Amino acid sequence: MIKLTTTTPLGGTVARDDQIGTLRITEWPNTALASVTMRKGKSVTFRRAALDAFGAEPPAGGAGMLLGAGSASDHIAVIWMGPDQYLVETEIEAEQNASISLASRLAERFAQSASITDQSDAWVRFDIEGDDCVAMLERLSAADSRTMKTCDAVRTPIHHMGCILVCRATKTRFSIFGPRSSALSLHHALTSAAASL
Amino acid sequence: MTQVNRLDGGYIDRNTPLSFTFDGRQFDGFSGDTLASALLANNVRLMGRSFKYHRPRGPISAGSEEPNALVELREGARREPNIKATTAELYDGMIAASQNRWPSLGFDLMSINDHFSAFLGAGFYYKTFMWPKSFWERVYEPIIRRAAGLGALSGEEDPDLYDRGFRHCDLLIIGAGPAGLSAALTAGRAGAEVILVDEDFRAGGRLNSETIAVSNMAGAEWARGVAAELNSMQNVRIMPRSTAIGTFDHGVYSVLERVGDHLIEPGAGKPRQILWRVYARRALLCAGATERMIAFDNNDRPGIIQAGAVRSYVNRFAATPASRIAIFTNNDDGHRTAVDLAAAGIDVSAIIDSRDDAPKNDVAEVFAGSVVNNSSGRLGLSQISLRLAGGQHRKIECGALAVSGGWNPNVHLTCHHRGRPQWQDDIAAFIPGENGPAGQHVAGAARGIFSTHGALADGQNQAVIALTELGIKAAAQKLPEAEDQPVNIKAMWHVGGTKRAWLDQQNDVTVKDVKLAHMENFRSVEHMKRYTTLGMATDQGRNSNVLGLSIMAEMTGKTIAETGTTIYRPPYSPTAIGAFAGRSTGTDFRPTRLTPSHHWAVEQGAEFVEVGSWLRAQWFQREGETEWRQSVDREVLATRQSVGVCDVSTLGKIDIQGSGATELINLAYSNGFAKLAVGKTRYGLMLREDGMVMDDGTTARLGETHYLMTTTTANAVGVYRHLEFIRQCLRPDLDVALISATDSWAQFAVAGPNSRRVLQQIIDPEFDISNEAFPFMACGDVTVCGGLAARLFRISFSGELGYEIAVPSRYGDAMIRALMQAGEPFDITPYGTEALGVMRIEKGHVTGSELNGTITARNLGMEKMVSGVKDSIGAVLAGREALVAEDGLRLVGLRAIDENGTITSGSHLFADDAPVVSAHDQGYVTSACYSPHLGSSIGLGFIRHGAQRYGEIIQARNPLEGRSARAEIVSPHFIDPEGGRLRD
Repeated sequence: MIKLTTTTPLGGTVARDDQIGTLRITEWPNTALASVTMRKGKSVTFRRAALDAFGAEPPAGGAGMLLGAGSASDHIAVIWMGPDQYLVETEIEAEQNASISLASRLAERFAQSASITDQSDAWVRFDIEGDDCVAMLERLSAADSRTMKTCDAVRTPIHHMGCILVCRATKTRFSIFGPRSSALSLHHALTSAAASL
Repeated sequence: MTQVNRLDGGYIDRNTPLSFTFDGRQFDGFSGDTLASALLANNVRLMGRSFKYHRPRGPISAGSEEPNALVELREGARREPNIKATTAELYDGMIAASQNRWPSLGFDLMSINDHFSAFLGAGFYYKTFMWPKSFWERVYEPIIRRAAGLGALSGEEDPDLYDRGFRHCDLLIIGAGPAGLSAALTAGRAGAEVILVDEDFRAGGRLNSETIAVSNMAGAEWARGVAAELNSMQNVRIMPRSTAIGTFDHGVYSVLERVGDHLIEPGAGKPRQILWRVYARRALLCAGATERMIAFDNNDRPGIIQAGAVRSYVNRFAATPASRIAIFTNNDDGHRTAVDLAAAGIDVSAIIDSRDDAPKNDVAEVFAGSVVNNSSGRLGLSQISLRLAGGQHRKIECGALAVSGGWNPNVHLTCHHRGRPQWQDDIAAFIPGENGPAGQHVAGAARGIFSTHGALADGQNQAVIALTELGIKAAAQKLPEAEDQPVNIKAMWHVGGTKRAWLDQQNDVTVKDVKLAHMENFRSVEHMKRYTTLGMATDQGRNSNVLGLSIMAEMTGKTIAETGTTIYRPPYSPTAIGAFAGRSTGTDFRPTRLTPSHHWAVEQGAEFVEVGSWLRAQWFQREGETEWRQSVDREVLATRQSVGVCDVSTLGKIDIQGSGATELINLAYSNGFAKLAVGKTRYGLMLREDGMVMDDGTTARLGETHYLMTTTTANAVGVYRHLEFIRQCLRPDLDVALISATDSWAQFAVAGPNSRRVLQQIIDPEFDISNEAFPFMACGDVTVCGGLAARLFRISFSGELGYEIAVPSRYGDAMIRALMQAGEPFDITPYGTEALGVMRIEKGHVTGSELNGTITARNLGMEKMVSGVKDSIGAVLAGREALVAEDGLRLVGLRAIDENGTITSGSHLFADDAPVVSAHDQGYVTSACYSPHLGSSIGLGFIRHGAQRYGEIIQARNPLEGRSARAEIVSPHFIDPEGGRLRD
């Protein structure tokens, strides 16, 4: 039997890691994602399931996000994506089957109160870290990254690519989720912005 | 060359001498100079030639309003025309050249235009070049453009980078003069998020140019101290070299920051300029004011300069335009100039004050009630003529004339939402109207408050008002002491004369031109502006507008308030197109999407083609193949004979879930979907509201409430948006969730008689994919290569036995390699979009080429796919009379009958013996290819009565490409019309 191995969104076997000036830009492939959308008329069951899965209410509309150890026993991020729609993220091992690890578990927890779609391979995640994060993001996104607090998340286009910007630590560490197929273009945009400072 | 006009003092850095060239001559200057101030220090007044008459010109200002001193800066690909010498910050090695002259600035043969000025007045072009009509574009316009113009572009690709950027603030303060600094200090201390922008490289505005004291120190020193304090505040950002060029909706301002223009070239990877979009909750315009000239005969001679600009050159740049300067004024500012010049040791030859009650002045003789009525001097001023109060004439020697006609508030950014300025009589100027942009306040000279104390106080007050609106508490602070002189002006616009008196020096518009416009009945300000071109140059009339209006008012016997004013639009200052483009140039114009097998395809030597944003493999060239068709023919034949594989991940995939999913899909597709069984896939046709076909694709039912819809590659976004519209607007009652899954899955078409055998080695053995267990149009979850979750669809675009296998994208690269390995015994062949296209044309499958927005289901021969038993989008309008006409277009196949005949897409179809004119046009070809299967050129197209015309010979003509072919009309299904191969 032929064995299948994974490649990162940038096409490598190991994650890309760039240091440009004071900024570090890292490809972050070991992440599982799933969208969770509340089903119509199921808000009570949905909230109960969300509390159970995340250990807290899902973030409020706009941009909120929640990080922490939920009852799902690992590191979870919940990002508001639209009315009653959230993107849930957990970290996984390199060769772990992403959809089994997250989407199917969420489907069990939310039962018929939410529609769950595996999104693990729909996105590329880049993390940027350093004191110049805000200066760099100002060249890329209309989001007000300067006032974002840890856990804030916002959908924002970057060079025509629909992205999600997540603040991991105020002013110094952010994650950017972008379309996986455009990973190379997004990486080029990020590294160019970092080099232009 | 020594700097003979260099003075002591000023705010230049004498420890940093700089060297530069102008028209090939080398000069020296200092850090802190502009090109204009350095040239003046070197006794160079002549810096340009005028637009139309090629008159010699020098700077009239020391700022961004400059109409005359426009130069070409830098060399080679970086050469940029029309740069104002008055704002170009000097750097070591600067190369500047004058423009719009031939052969040289001092001796310009084109100045012959000046001698024909009698013929070149307002409306000259409209009146003269009327006949013959065809000459306008071919003869007149090229000649005029060559003669009249500004600088020239290099014609080379711009090597510089430009960035776009986004910033947010509570208060955006535009202008760092006394009002702006005072406002920033107030807002900064109140803790508000403040952005302070200024087009200059040194904060302070007019304080840098005046000898006025603030808080018992030089105004410029006070400004430096304030700027330092602001710089130390975390919540305040000062952006020097940054011009607010436009006011847009919802508090958005465009700010152009010139980060690299003061350097010989920007560092590698660094931008030259950044175009910022500033989101400001409130804005405060502290843009100051621009000094007016007074029009008199020959008032455009180099050396005739705004009085305030003369003070800038002397006080700030320590460079005097001449050693002997006269002053012409209608207000007290002229006298201030005289005092400053005398203090700098410059000989003030006279003060000509048009007011009868002109004050006395200690430093020079004052000619009250007198005017300057002419000037003379070759290539620069040497003498002025006066008409004294008593009517006598007098001549005075001087190398420069400082003119003060009063100040115009810089109201431009208040007009960008069509706000109209209002006339204020006591300062003889327009101030911002009441109807300015929402959230924008104005302070200081920009709203006609001209004293230093007034500006400081108003800046603070307006900042407090703006912050209060935001709920931010800001306290008024003790203001520094400063002068508070009232404005004392007696309006005086132009001195009557017999020669030409310039109003708009950039567009060469004179008092006479305005009078001519009046005579010819172009009397509204808007008509006058367009007829004379007054105010239509790149300075947007900053120097000329009010003068022109005043003359029109005089001619019509109205007041200026009654005459009104034209307004302004963005950009405030000319802005390089590159700054608007930002990084979106060349191959970075838009992002690229890569398929999961892209890197593998590169290794295989694939040629790529852009499809939407995607790069798709077009064909895979093998050794010995010299022409693309050889590769494509091989790929097609190999697939039809054994098995081929193609990355089809680019097709749009929309995950649809919910108890209302079936109903939504059934509404979106014109054919029935209500009874699609779980584990089955169906072809669907999607119409627009108007009944035309929008898209087609297959939709798989993965579960009772779970579907996966596929769309064409190019329409993925459009279809998703369409479904969202249905979900949110038409059927908000339905329980449906949509999300794109396009990027999630790497999907490969495996097609050909051996496709099942290949897949059986990949798909885990517990999944039976035999024809019985997994028939045509089946779909389902499988696992591959020992447990990886995957999806299998038995669908075919090629017309062969075919499957599409999908795995999570991270396994896409591994999957293509696995398929190639498993298919090796069957000589598996990767194929690209060209072979895909050939096979679908052979099969008669339609794609974007056929679904061109004007085609109905009936045109495609699919009228039965518009269900009559259910409601679906477009079904009603598809039944319109004209759309169901019997003689409508019908999809047909076309097969060339001559061996060398080539059908090309875009060809139009004519009866075999008909003339090739549009009256005989019967249809057109949408897709064409060479079919290796049939050994001839074939195509798909639409022709009237198509279904009844099989066997008829027609001509396919493409006059644009000069191609034609005779072809037989055939069924669009060239191969396997019964579909037996699909079902094997």
